[in-house]
Amino acid sequence: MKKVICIFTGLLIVAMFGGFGPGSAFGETLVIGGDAPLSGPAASWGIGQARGVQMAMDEINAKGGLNIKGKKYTLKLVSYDNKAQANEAASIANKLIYSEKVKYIMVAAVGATGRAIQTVTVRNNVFFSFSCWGKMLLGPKKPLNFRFGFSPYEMSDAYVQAVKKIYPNAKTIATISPNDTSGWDGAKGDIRAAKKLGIKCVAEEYYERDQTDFHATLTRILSKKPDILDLATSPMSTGGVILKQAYEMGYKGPKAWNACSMASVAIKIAGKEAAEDLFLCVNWNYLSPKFTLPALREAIKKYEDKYKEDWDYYGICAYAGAQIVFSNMQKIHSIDPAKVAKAMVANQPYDTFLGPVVFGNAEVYGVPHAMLHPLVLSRVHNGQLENMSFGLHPDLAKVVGDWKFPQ
Amino acid sequence: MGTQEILAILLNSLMLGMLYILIAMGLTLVYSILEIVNFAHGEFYMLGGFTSYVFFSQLHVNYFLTMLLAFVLIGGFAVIIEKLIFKRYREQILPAFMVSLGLVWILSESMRLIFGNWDKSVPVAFPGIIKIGGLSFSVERLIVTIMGAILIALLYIFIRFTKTGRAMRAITQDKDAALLQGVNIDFICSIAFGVGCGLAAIAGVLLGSVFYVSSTMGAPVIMKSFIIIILGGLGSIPGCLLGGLILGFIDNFASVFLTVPKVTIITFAMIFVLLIFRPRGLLGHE
Repeated sequence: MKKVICIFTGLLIVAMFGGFGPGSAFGETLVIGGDAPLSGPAASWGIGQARGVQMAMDEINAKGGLNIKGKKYTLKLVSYDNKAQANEAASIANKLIYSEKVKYIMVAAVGATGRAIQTVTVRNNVFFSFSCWGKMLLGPKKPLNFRFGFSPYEMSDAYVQAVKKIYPNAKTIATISPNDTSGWDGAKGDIRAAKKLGIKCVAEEYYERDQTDFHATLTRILSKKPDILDLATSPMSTGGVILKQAYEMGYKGPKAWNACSMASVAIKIAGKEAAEDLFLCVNWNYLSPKFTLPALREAIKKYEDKYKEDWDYYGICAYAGAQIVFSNMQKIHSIDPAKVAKAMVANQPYDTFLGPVVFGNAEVYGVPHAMLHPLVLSRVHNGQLENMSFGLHPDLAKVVGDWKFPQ
Repeated sequence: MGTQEILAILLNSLMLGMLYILIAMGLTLVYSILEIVNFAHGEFYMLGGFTSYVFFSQLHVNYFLTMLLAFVLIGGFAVIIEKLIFKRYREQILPAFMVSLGLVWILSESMRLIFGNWDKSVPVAFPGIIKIGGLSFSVERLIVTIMGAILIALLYIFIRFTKTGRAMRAITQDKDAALLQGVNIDFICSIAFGVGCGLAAIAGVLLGSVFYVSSTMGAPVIMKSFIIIILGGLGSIPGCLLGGLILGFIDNFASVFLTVPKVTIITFAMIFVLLIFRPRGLLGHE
């Protein structure tokens, strides 16, 4: 009897540990890594993306997991807070890749941290998708890097053109942006686009990310009397403070902010009056029937029901991007990052809740790895977002022709 | 740049200077009486910010009552911390420093767990803009500047004219003599710690609506506080006043004409030179 009990217990132990290890009968776990700011002024980007990827994973897991050649994979997200610091980001990337053995990092924001992360992912052939800005983050030597969501290289021209249409007399622009890779990219992208339209840049200011008071910087900027104040890549809370202080110092003109992906946070800090006439291209009224698809409105409602707050644009793109990644994994029956990356470009266009999506802009990066979808311009009026117009990047227009939102 | 713009910059410099002084005074008070450097001082400023978020923003408590609540609640909490943690490390700078570093993480991460990762906005307590000679001034900033000055004056009156304040000064001059005179050292140390952190909490309330509230807002402030107390002289309250005004003006005034990295270099270069020729700071004790 004792022998039987011992054998049974031993078998049970083997079954328990064998059952949940790799290659077990209960299926495997595919761990996806997240290395993003989850606190501080840049948290809206990191948190939104983590939730977006998690939502895409939950959809797959609810259907039994990823089915790759008959083997089931449960998807699991492991995210760490890099506080928008490059050194933390590199350290977390090392941990994810060497300790957690991830082959996919799909949550990352802020250009400087993206550069730090890719120093680890590129040499380890890890798939790396992000919202980080910076031209050097995509390229032929980084075949597994993808950007989900617009950066200035995808949107500045269309965005500044749309603002100029509304303010045809605008002759000068002043930019204020963080003093790092994404900050420079954001500011210089808009300055380049403005120059093409005959708008001169009268001030180009950069600040350190932990700066909270902008009175001195704004004194310098506003003394040049710009027609447009451009907050470029400012994070939500910081941008809210800049808007507030600019208003207190007498600036009531139009504002542009190409990185404002969650205007509600900024409007709460700045106040309705300070945010008036703020033009955005990566945050629009997702619940308005104007220039949105029903599927987007459904996704937003699902998110807001679950999290009781607004969803950041880059989180929405991370959700769409993750759906594309997982669908390609299933399509080609592989979780090999290199194969999935190739398939993502080969199998486009994608019909998503954002509208048609392609990966393009090879003209800028040398590889078509930047996500492109219809760009919607919005404006803040009386504390609310109003959708004004939309446009298609040339690479997207080539594929979908004169696609329009159903009205 | 015209006279009006310079006046606006000076006013903003004064506002920043007042609030830096308020925070740094608490730090220097703690050092002068307990002889410890509390690296977690900035976190009490952060706790003050969250107090304004909870009471003023969410529960709609009167703004001035919120300030009083911040002083009492956070100051009271600080007294408990002093009794439980710092009491055994009085006059031991390095152990107290290490312990306070740990407290930084505990407090900031606790607030993050309780309130989440998002930065919090606090409604403007005194909305409106006034125009003086064509220049716009925020009413809020004006009032914050005045409040800062009043609180510094109140602290001065407390230290100079009250029995507790005299006891504090006695301890800084000669602790043994103070003990012989019947001063309750333990009690005074706890009060000093509570008052110091309470002042930082009030600064958090004042600045919470000017900027925003986050669990990481303590870190930049503690660095500035240390610069002020080193500049002014460790343990010297008049030195703290002078150091705060100098830093407020350099930080804001110089930032108009120079970039932030250059201003940072100038600030640290100035401290470096000062410490070579006057290690005790501008008004520090020998």
